Amino acid sequence: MRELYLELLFNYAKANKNVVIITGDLGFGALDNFFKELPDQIFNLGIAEQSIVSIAAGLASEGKNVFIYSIANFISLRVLEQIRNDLCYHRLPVKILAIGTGYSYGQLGFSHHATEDISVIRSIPNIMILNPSDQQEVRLSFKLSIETKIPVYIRLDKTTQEIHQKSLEKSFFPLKVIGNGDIIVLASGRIVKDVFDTLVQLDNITNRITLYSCPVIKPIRIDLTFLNSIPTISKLITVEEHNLSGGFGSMIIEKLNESKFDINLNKVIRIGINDVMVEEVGDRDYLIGNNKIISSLISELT
Amino acid sequence: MNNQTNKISRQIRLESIRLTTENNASHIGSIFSISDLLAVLFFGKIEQIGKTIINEKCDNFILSKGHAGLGLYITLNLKGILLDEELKSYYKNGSKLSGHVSHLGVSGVRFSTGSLGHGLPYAVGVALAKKISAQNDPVVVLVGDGELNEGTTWESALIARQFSLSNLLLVVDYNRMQSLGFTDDTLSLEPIEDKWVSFGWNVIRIDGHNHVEILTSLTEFNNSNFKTNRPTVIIADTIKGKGVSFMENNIDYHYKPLRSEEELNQAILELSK
Repeated sequence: MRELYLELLFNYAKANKNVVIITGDLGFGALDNFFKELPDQIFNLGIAEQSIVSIAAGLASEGKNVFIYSIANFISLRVLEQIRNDLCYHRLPVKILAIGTGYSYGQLGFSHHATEDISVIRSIPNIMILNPSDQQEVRLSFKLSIETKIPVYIRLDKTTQEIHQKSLEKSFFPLKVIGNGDIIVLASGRIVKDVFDTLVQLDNITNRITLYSCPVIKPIRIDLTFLNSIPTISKLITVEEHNLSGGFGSMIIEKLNESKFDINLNKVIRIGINDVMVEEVGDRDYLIGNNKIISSLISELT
Repeated sequence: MNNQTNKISRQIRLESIRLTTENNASHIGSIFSISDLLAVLFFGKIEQIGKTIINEKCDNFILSKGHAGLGLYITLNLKGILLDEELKSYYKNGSKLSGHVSHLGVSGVRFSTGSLGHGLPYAVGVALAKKISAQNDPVVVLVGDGELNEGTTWESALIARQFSLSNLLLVVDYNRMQSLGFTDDTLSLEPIEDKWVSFGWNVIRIDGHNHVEILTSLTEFNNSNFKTNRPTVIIADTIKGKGVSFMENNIDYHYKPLRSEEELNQAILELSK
């Protein structure tokens, strides 16, 4: 997904000379063509994330169309105040490409896990958060990110994932992925593919569930009115590769509350990281297993 | 020229002491510390170019020590950019003029600050954008000395030199006092000139209350911008609370407004001399 976004960005930058890409000494191998072919548009500003976000604000205030490339947790938690004060308060449409979502960098350790970024960033006004789960959602996210007039935090995983069959033009969310049942499963980001693969493997499950993907966390309203057309919702399950505290599932509960849906909140089950820290080494699958993310989903469905 | 800028700096001090006292607002000592710098930056014509270093729109200036925001609001008022009614609303409910400088709905303020260590990297971004667009317009950022404790200052010092931002001027208000005491007793910045020299910057040292020296340093920066590829720092030796005898070098006036009518009258008397 990262590669696709960068490919789209490369072509866009080639055609739009006011595009400036800045990196904090990251992107080994991923940004080579930018350095080679667009040397006047890409700047390695060194390992200085906090300054980089403020510098991005300065560049954007001069009319540059700025994209910051970094690792998700560095360019969210470490620079939170710079995002809040310098980008959001000034409404500067800087695009933050946050690479390696959730447990993607598994064995690299706790410092590299992006498992709280959605919670903290979504508490700031004037920002768009995108969390695509497959190549089509990346295409849509790219379009949304270059069209908006506010800062964008876009989570881009390194994997290539295919879920949606057709290109996506919809501008309301969530997006239906599979199924026609009365168990509603809502997920966001890379984990959508894991959920999708799990559901496909379960017998006759698609008659009982409907899976939706939410590539946009904010500010576009998540429209849950479709729930009204389902006669009885037996369960509503949210799945995220992120801390449950303030994350995607929390957001869905807030939306349900705002929309005054007649749904018993006991029927809403949030699956994710249950406010615990990783204390051992493991690859992504191992850590997801440790947190019982997919196994909890299966037990809710069977 | 000197007469004019002297009058301006006096007006900045008088108006700021009235407004902080009236509104029980803080940081008057920090405003007095930079009043002369603001006066010359915004009103001192550099002979060579026939204009001030800060442009007509005042959009090439960033006040990074946002707590001295009132000093900038008053300067902009004197420039005719900020209306009298707006200035009067300072610190009041429903106003746009917060204690720490804010740009929202405030003409002439380009960048909001208050959390320290944001102004310099932002200015680096502005200066870099101008360089990318093959412009050499100066970008001026004023920081407090306490602010040099922040890591982003030194990150930006490296970056500005690396990218040859000769159009960037950093002015350090070196009053040697920060929130709780003297900089030397907190995190000493000495040897301050050597630090900037070692980072590859042009370093100019001045008396930050001497208008001739301030103007000369701005002229020097202007020359350097076109002749070198280095950013410039002006280290301005200043006095916190400058202009009122009982406020000078008194840490109380970092946070506290004047305590009484008598103090205010005394201050106004001294400033009016």
